[in-house]
Amino acid sequence: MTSPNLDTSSAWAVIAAMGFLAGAIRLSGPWLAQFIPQSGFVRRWIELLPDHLLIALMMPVFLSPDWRIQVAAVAAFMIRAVGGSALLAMSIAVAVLATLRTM
Amino acid sequence: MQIKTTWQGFREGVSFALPLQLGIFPWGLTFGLVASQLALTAPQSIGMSAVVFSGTAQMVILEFWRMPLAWIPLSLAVFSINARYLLQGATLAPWLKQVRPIHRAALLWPMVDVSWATSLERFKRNQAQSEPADFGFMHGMQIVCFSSWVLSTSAGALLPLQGLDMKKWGLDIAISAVLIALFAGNFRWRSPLGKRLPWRHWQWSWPLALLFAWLSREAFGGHWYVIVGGGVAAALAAISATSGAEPKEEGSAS
Repeated sequence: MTSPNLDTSSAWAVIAAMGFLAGAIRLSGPWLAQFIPQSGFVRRWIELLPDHLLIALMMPVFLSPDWRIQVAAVAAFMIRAVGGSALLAMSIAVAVLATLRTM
Repeated sequence: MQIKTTWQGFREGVSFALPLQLGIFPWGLTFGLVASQLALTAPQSIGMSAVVFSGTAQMVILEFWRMPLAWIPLSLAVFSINARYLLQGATLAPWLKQVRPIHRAALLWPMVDVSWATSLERFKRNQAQSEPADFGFMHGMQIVCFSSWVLSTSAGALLPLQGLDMKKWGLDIAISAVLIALFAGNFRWRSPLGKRLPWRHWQWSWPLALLFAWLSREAFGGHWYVIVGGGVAAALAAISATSGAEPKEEGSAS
C-alpha cells in the first residue's frame, strides 16, 4: 500500500471509533433481545440460533477448497463425537493438518 | 435461571482457554507484524488490539489505512464482520438480564466466538441440571484470550519476526476445531453401538445453514454469511417447529 499514511490524530481517531463500534455491537445483543417477543416463533428461533450460527461460522472450514482442512475438521468432529474433549479435538485437528501439509 | 460468579469458575475458564492460545497467539503476532509494515506505530497496533479486539475486523481496518479515510465503507465492513455478536449476545440474554449493567458490559465487551459458544454450552448444561450458571468461567476465558491477543500483537509489533508461518504448523484451524468440537458435543456418543446415534439427532436445517452461509458469501462476500446462514436456517427450523410439522428434536445444544 503506497497511499499516504494516516497522521497520528487520524490514526487514533480510527482506532477509537472502530473500538467504539465493535464494543457497541457486542453490548447491544441483550438490549435488543428485550424487544423480541419471548413466545412462539421468535422464542423458538432464538433457541435454535446457537447451533445454526456455529454451523455458519464453520462453513469456511467444511467447504474449504483445501481437502486437508476438511480432513482436519472431520477429525475434530469425530474425536469429540466419540467422547474426546474439545481440547483433544483441537490438538488432533492441528496435528492432522500439519502432517497432511508436509505430505 | 440462577447465576453466580465464582473463582472456581474463573479458574476453570482460564484452564480451558490457555491451550486455545495456540490458535490465537500466532494471529496476534501476524497482525502486529502486518501493522508494523503499514507504518503503524507499536502503540497504535497494541491500542487497536486492546480496544477493537477482533482479528478479522482489525485486518480490514488495515485495508482502509490510508488518506483520505473512507469512514462509511470502513464502518460498514467492521459492522458486518462483528454483527454476529449481536445475535450471540441475544442468545445469552436470559442469563445476562439478571446481572447489573456494568457486569453485563464486562462479560459482553471482550466476548469472542469461542468464549460465547463454550459459555453458552455450559450455561445450558447448568440449566438442565438445575445448577446456577457460573459467569466466572466466561470471565476467565475472556481475560486469557484478551491478554493473549494484546501480548501477541505487542510481540509482532516489537520483535524482529519474519517469515512466521502458522499454516505450516496447522495452527490456522485451531479455533475452528474448537468450535467444531463444541457442536459435535451435541451428539453425545457413548459407544460405537450406543443408544444415542448421531443421525437420530440430525436437524434437517443444519445443512441448510451451511448452504445459506456459502450462498451468502458467494453472493455478497464479507462476513454476512454467519448471520444469513445461521439466521435463515434457524428461522426455517423455527417455522417448522412452531407449525407443528415436526416433533421436538433431542440431543441438540438446547
